[in-house]
Amino acid sequence: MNQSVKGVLQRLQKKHDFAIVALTGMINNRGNSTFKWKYVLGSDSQRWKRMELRKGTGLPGVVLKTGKSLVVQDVSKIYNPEELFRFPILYFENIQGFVAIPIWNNDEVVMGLVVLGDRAPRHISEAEYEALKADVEKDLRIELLKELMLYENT
Amino acid sequence: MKTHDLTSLLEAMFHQSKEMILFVDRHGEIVYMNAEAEKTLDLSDYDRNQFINICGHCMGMAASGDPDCTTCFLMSKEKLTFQVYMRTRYGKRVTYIANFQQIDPENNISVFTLNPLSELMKQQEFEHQKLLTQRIIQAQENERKRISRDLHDGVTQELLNVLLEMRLFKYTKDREELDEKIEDSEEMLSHLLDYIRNISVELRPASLDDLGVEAALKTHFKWLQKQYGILVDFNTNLNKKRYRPEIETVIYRIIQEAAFNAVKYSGSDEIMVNLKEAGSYNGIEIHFEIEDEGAGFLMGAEPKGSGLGLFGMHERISSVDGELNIDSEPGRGTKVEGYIPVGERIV
Ligand SMILES: Nc1ncnc2c1ncn2[C@@H]1O[C@H](COP(=O)(O)OP(=O)(O)OP(=O)(O)O)[C@@H](O)[C@H]1O
Ligand SMILES: [Mg+2]
Repeated sequence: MNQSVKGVLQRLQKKHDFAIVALTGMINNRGNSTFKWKYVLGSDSQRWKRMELRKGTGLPGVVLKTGKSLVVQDVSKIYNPEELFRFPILYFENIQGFVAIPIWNNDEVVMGLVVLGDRAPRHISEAEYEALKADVEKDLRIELLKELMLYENT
Repeated sequence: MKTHDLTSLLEAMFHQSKEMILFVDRHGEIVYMNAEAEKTLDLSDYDRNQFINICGHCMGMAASGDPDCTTCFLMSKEKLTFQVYMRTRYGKRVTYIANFQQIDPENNISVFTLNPLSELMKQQEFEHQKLLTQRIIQAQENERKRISRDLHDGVTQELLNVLLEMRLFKYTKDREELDEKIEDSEEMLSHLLDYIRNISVELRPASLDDLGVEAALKTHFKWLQKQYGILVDFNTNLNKKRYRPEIETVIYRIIQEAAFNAVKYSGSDEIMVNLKEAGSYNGIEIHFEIEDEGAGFLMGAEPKGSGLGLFGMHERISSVDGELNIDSEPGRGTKVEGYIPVGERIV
């Protein structure tokens, strides 16, 4: 079943032409204060598999705090290298431009975060962003929910 | 504008200047010299009515001490800047930065000014020290900013959330709903606890004082792995041995900084750390090594960050009479190694 979430990510990566696509695991599962990256497509490092993310820190922290998507066309204009180090996924994968979109479950709780990025600054138009967001809503969110239901039923 | 007489001003400058100023003809005979030159050069057999030659004081431009007069500056008609050795009073040999320029071609008179090199170096060193101090202050300030932001973003915000949540308790009539709210607050508080623990460990791990450097490093490496996904291959024979607190702090901080540099700049997924106690003919020593096979760098190249890390490592090691060596090569990786004499262990 994982294959289908991964499949959706691959489709998103291709369709919207991003060098790297990252999806976190469940953010709000009770009793666990940390979570991990579930899939990172387009990385040739193994680091992300070992990284433990913590609510309130890093890129997920920023997005979760506001609950809103984050569109950054040129990372270097916003963060200096020292600050960038607080966002290991951006720093180590050398992501220069990205979109980060929170994914909500049916109870209006954020269950995950998807990051689509490039290794060069990237212009992202309003229309592009809307299209991307629609695809995340329509495909990725549904696929993730399906996977969750399966977990709960077993 | 012309309220002063230029000649008298020039004369005042000439005599009060802290550099030696001499006027010489093309044979090197001194026509005039200022007070500073008279004070500095060896003039024990100087007859004020006679000309005296600069060559009697000059020890040439070569470090070897053999003056090579075939390339003498006296021959030059252009302005020259060069390093030259001069004999001063009591026969001392001193290095000067000299300027030589012909000012009167008709009579072949040139002006020769001399500044002691050591003065210049002192000045440069002073400027360098000033710059370094500024950077250290800036780094401290940045560190404070970071901690304050961590406290504000993480702790204050979360506490506020818990507070707001708890305020609702008394208005919640439904028992089940109340239980849920209590559970939520509990979870928030436990996150907060984790978060604060992280901040304080980052500042100074309690385990360093309580359990020693080996345990503190193990915890730190675990944290590095979780935070940045880096693997640390840690080898040690310390076996929970304890040393003087200042020595344990130096070891911990140097290894921490070197490992952190490797995380930040090497691009490599793995770091090797060795920490060994060994006996030598003058007592017990601690050897350490932090190595990565990543990007490497050129010594003396512009640092990517503040550049205070390596400086601090050297400062720390010399505070405990140890020695540090940093070996790096672009494309090959970086190795930081050092040793500290520990005298005796603490049991
Ligand atoms: N393991 C390493 N691999 C590659 N480059 C390194 C490594 N360690 C140090 N460097 C280079 O040496 C420079 C100086 O390191 P140093 O620790 O003094 O300063 P910094 O890390 O840039 O700043 P600070 O430590 O003050 O935060 C770094 O900026 C980096 O360019
Ligand atoms: Mg450093």
